[in-house]
Amino acid sequence: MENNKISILILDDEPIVSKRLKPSLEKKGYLVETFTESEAALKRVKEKKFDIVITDLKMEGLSGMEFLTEVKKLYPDTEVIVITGFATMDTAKESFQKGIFDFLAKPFKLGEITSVIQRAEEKIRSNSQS
Amino acid sequence: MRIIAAVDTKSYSDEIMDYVARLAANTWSDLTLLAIQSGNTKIEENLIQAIVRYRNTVFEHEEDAGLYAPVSMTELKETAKGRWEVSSRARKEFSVVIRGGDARREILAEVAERNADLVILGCTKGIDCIWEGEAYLPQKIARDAPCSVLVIKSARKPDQIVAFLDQTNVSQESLEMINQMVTVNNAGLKIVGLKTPKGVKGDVEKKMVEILKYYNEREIGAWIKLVDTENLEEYVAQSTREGMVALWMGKESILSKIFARGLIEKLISNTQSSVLLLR
Repeated sequence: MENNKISILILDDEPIVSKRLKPSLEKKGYLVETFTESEAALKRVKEKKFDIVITDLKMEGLSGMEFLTEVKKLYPDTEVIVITGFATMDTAKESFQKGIFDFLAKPFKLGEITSVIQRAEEKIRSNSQS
Repeated sequence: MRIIAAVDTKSYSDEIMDYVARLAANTWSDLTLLAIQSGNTKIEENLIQAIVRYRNTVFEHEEDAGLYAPVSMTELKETAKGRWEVSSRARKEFSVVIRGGDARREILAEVAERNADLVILGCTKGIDCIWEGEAYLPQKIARDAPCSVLVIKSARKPDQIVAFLDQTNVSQESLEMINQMVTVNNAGLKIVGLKTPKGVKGDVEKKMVEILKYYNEREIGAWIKLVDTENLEEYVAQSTREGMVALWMGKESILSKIFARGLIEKLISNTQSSVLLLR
């Protein structure tokens, strides 16, 4: 956390997703960085720890599943939220086995993901106090 | 994703539950079973029995993934005149809502209240698509809901999704909804453009190619086809034998002008399988 603000990294190969989420989350006081390529996002998480990571699963190159595995390996207490247009019970189960916070199938409304982020934030703040 | 399954006590509601449960479980969606009855003073006993069956089907499909927490019908609370609700949350929210009154009005009110992404409902197999004694109700919901609507007339798993496009108003949400449908059904995707005697509108052709590229980049086996508008009805009938028919809705849709009684009504009436209206 920087200045008590929650930092969020968003990785989705469709720019429209970040374009929709970033301004809304920044308005709510979050520090947001967005990426459309998983390699670039991985490079960034190696430089900086984010409180919350939101990632798509199906991407060229490093997949979202591989990316979130790396994130959880580097920072077990970073809360990862998976967003995917190709949800299956198996990918959801695999993601949860890797310790993600939540799994959202697209399409979703802004309010739905915001509410998941708020719950992740509550968990992070409560963990940091204990 | 937030799904509302609108149900009553009839057999077509029983028949859609497997599909609803499978879709909800695979997409890890918040799920509301919205049960409609005519009276609004007390809950009808046969509706409760039906909801219990539907709820059990939902829990059979979640494969012990801890997706939903159980709800008991004894915990239903009247939250407003003629509206009862019980909800639980495990990883996702599961709700049972009972609303009494005019089916169309009550379904649309719940859709607005929950800000749903998808409404699913079944109906009788004939042209009039009767739901809870009212003809053409699924057509009215499909026409008036602000989100995508899936009307299931046959619970058969579609091998193919045939998506009709005649205008360029294609939302990101609708593309994503198709992704999920293709994934859950392990189905192929055919994008059908409409050709008038003057040809295909240039911007529609461009949009078709864009959509094809979008799906191919995501490793979805999609292909495109052009159909003459004069052969459209026949093509729709043929397509419904192949699988689910999907339609991108938009203000500029010329399809609605082709069908005298209205496109959505015609599509749903004529289909033998399922129709997905995308918004």
